Amino acid sequence: MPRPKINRKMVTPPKFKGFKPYGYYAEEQAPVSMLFEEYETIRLCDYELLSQSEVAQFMGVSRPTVTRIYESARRKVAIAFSEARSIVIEGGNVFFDSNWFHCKNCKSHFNNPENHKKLICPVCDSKSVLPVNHAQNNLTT
Amino acid sequence: MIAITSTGNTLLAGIDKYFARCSYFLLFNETDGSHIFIENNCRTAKENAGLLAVDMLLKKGVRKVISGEFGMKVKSVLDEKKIQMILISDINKTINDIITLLKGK
Ligand SMILES: [Zn+2]
Repeated sequence: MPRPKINRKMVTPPKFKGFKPYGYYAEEQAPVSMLFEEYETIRLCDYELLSQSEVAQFMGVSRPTVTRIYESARRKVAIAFSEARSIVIEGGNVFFDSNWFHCKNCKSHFNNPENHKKLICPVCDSKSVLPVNHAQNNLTT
Repeated sequence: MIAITSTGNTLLAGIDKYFARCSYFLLFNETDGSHIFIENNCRTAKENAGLLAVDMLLKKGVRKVISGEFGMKVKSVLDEKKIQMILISDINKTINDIITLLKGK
């Protein structure tokens, strides 16, 4: 029986669904599919400049697992760069340690630290707010 | 009180992408609609800039923060203090745009 995958923790939801190359390239190819946790390891290691052990501790996985996810993420970036392919960030086993919500009206993301039952957008007061894993339905697949 | 990370001290400034090392915080008073810019003196701290900034904002009565980005370390502090985090993805928005949204409520 395959070992159940441990869900990896993410800081905040990504603000985009992917990247596209532009300019002088031959023809459109199939996009490279990058998992949420792969995106997150690159962000934490190379943008927030955390060590792989810090990342492992935060994501709730072992250090070798972080190394493996990070390697896979870097290879996907290299493929996308070299072959001029777009990157789609989708899928994976992730959760956020806060519940994030998305306002359909003003497009802001926010969390709910006081656990309000009737949630409205803190910026524009709109009632059209959705939990992030529903707004981006690929998140938990 | 809501704190917004700002790149400058005028209403035409943009939202600063970074929380801990932003240039200014705009404090918006939700009760009377007034606002004031304060310089972020914590930004030059060698370490724990985020932690110092959160402490400073807490003393001013801030319960919500608006920024373009929250780092992992500062996020855990904000979680612990139960301060609401609001992410604005469109960082082309000016401080004035955000105030207009907040006042339009
Ligand atoms: Zn809104």
